[in-house]
Amino acid sequence: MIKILFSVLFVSHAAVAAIKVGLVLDKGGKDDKSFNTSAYEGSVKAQKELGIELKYVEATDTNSFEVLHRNFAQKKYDLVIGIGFAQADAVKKVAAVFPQTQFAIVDGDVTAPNVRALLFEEHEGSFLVGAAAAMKSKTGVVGFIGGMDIPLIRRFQKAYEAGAKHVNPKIKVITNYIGVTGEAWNNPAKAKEIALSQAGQKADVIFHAAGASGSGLFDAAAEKKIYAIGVDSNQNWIKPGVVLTSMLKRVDVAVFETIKQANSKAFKPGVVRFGLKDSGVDWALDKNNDMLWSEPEKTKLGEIKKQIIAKKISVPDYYVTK
Amino acid sequence: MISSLNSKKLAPWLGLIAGLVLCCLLALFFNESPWHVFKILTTSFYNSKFDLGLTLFYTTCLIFSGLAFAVPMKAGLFHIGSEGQILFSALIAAYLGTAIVPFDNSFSFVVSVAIILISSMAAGAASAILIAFFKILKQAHEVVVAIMLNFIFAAVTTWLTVNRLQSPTSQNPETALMNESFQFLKNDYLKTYFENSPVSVFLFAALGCCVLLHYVERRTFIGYKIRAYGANPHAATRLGFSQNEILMMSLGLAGVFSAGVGLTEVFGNAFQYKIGFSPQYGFLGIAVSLLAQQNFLGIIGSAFLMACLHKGASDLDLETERLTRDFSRVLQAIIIFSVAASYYIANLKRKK
Repeated sequence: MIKILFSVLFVSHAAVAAIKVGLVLDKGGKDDKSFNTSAYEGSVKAQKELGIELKYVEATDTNSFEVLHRNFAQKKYDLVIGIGFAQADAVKKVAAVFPQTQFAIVDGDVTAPNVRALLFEEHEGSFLVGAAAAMKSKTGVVGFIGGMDIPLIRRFQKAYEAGAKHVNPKIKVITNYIGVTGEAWNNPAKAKEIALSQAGQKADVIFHAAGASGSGLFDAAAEKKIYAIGVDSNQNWIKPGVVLTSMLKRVDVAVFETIKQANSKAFKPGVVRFGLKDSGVDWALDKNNDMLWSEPEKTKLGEIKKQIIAKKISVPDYYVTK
Repeated sequence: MISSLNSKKLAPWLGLIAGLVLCCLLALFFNESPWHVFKILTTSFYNSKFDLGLTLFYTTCLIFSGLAFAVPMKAGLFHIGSEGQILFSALIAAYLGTAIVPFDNSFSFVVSVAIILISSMAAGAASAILIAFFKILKQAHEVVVAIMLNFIFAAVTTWLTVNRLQSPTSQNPETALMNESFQFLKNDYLKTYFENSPVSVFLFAALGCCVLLHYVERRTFIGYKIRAYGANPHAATRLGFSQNEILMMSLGLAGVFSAGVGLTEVFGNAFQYKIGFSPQYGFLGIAVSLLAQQNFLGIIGSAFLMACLHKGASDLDLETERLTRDFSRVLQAIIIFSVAASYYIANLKRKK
């Protein structure tokens, strides 16, 4: 009897002792409807399903990343997750000081015994939506709007172009960047202006990789009756019928899986790459954009996806070729 | 007279306390304990040596950017171009740090360090003197020119970083690390004491600049000229002071202090140029300088206050359930506003 009581007590105790997770979001903040939102949703899902204790913070500047990671580690959080490439240095430094704490970083290539680096093959997904854009374009002109002209966004751009050219070798791709400071990720007005000007140059499908600025593109696309392509999160719902599809970057899945691992004491450090093959990146098809796609088109995209996974199509990677 | 002087000196402190109380009461709306918020705001800067070091790093940057605003203000110029000068001078320092390879003797090492420091300051000064040129040649207003130049320098530095100086070993938008020998501030005594936080000896340089300027302003002819021009440009030119010289001098000095921020970041902290490193020090500097009413010694205090608030902002987010980073910006604004208002009220009393 006592034994049973003990075991019940022990088990219930084990269930209660969920881990504490700290989430450090990038400067864009949790409501960018894109990259950070995706990470936030993944951790909230873990909070609901696994009962972990979650605390998230948004960084104020590049030097504050380190402080936030440090504070979480000092407060004995079990897992600290950094979102965004800008936190790579901070994670590297703090992880060395607190070897007992587990760290994870999205988009940052950090190798340490207590760090799990979650990297995404954005170029594979961008190639696919590039192909999708070319299939839907009637004018033979498609557009790309990037946030800032930095290597990460060029990776999107280069593969998008290649994807469009794969379907229609004669297609013209117009590329514009929104800005030169961090404000570029949060400037919908400028994104709209650029989208309208691209539409003026006959672009009828436009893909954005510009964080919270993207909402400007969706407005412009609705106004000019052209298609837009979302990024990171599934943005099809924002303007159904206008958003052709979204290039999914499943940060939420990566974050959730990492928390799940840590919660069941199976945290695996090391670099993990998410690509088309494990649906880490993908194109989004749901009730909000299903009516835009005919069966043959869906099959054709599925074909291209398979070929990329089987490496029959080689997708240019800006990180490798520059 | 004596009582009014006292109230004028006490005013900013009373304003500060009033602002803090207001902030803490505001927290009640969000079901947070005002006492808890007060404790975070007032103690977060010395939770650990690392925290104090970071606050002192912010203080260093804010002193420099505060001076970059205050010096031209003495000549009656509203100089808001510091942000662009910071970016430009920081990039120059980072570039030279990778391009120059010193020989293996201490003389050439000292020379190359001097070259980096001086070129960075010259770059800052040159970019600030551009404003003076436009003002002298085309009578363009310095505010308009400065705000435009901020964008131009942001664009130029970003383009150069990504297209010409991008670090080959990194996928982040940043330049390569400076040569190993130029990273000598990495493990110095100060950094070790503050648990490897960003603070560096540039803090003492910043304090020195404040003291020096305090002396120059009151005791030298140059200081007198700038003050006289600021008080009444027509009278000063009638007296035979050259307007061009004063404009170039005050803006050039401002550029040098902007470069101080860039050097603090590149030479004392990151050892490379990272796009987006500055949380708009150039604009925070305006608040720092206005809080201190352009008093060069007062800038030390107001820079430290702003640094604590900036540091406290991220801690509020971390330590409370419902307050976010945006709320902490509201708090910063309230505190600055109430301190500024206190000056006004004190002056009002004096007039009566």
